[in-house]
Amino acid sequence: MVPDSDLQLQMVIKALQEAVAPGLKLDEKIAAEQLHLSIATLGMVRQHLPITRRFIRAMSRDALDLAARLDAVVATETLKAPTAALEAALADPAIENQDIEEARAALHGAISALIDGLDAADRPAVRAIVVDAMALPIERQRAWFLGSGFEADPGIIRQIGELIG
Amino acid sequence: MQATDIRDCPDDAFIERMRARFPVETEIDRTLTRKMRLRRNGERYAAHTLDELVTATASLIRANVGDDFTIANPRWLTGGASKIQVAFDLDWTENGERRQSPMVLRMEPTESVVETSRKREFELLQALDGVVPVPPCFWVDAEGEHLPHPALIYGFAQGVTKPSNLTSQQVTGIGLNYGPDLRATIAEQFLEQIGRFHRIGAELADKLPSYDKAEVGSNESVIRFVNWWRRVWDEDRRQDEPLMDVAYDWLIANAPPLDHVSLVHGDCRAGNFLYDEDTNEITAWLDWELALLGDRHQDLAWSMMDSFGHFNEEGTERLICGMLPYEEYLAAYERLSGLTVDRERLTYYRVLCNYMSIAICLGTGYRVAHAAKTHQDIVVGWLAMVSFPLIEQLRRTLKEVI
Repeated sequence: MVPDSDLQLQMVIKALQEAVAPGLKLDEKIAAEQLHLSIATLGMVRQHLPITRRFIRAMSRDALDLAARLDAVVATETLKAPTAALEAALADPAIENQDIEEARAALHGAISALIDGLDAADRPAVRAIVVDAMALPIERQRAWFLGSGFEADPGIIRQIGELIG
Repeated sequence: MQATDIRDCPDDAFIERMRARFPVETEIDRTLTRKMRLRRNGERYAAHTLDELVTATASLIRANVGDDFTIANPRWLTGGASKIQVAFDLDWTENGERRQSPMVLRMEPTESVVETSRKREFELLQALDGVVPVPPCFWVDAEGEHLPHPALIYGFAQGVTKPSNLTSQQVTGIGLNYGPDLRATIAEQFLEQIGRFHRIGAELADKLPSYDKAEVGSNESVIRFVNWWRRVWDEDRRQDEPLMDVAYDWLIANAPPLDHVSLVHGDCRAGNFLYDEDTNEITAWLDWELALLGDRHQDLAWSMMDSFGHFNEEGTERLICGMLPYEEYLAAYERLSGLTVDRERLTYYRVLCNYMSIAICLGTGYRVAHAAKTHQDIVVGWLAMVSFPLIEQLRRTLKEVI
């Protein structure tokens, strides 16, 4: 397919950098800041596009892992249907990324509802599971957005390719 | 296919459920309820021209001082992620006296990444006169009767937020580096002046009618504050994050009673004050929109978040807020403020500040960019990415305490 999405993004970034940016007046600071961030955002999207599906699937597996660990200590029906729906989404090769994301969000919603309604006796164990299980998906997201420059020590984050298999 | 999100167009039942479930300060409740009701009309941010804003600003000034004034040299101001700002020169008559002053119009966009009250900000800037340097505040349009949205007009304060030769491109002052020559001078003033407003919260309370009171020995104000950000999170978020639920649960269960009533800045950090590059003296504290009567440890914990710090030139020590290493920072605060630092409380507020900043960046940041509500959605959207190091900080701190 010519031009493909990667080439289209490359062309837009080049045009913004080489034709639009030099045309800004020095005192147009708001426009300059928004142009700078627009170019950076497009660059990030260009990096993400080829690996988005792997990232979404990895994040979905994390949600399933958390649900399974919670189910082992809090016997509940709450998580069964959204877990099954996300498993089905991951098993469907034709499903769109957005639909996998929606299924993952639904499972997270069910987990949040479970936490909201917990008995006092279950709270310590559930807190510990969530805090532990979230380590990997958080690291994946930090790696995904590493290009934002917000990490105080970016060297400690593994590369996104390593984290999504 | 993406399901319809109630948060994009909240009905009365949703709004009332949020209000009932998460009680907050009276004026905060009014502000958040107004935000949700206005959101229903689906209005996107429409760019205002300078001429439009000058005309509306003139209307506000006229309502306060009459017809004898002129506005000159209007221009956009950059800085910050939440409000629209226009600088201008004003010449007017007040109490028979002719005055000239550079001014700033500070106006909300259609929906802001932090939805706050201009009325509170106006009261506070007036109450702080003589306590720490703040811009003089002149007039407020609390309900947007003159301007397109609520706004206030204050005097232009001289100074810079960061060294003018700094090459950093990061948004909103994150990771600001003053450099080794300036650092100690700024740190000393910063911590001494924080101490001033931290000491006198109870004394200021009567000058702040739009602020709910806080009491020593009670954790009611702390729970109200936690609920503020839970409500924002629940009103704005894209999707649930189980770690946020665990954090809220823990914050409510462990809210410490106040040991002293402080005026808390709420966004206390490098980048939120101006200093004079010739004298290196702080000339004005800015961005008081998140201020409240509460616990000084909130400001300390906020200023100590990883995002606001960086390593020293040798790469050997992390500088809190770009100023001092951790222990030196706390010792200097105690010395300069005359107030103590309670490490347990500080840990509580580390959790709370992370929770709050995630609610802002990942919750509201998503919602306002998604609905095209601001003058700089690209900035707000970029800022949302700081949420992930913040979530890791929240997770790590929770791991220490649960």
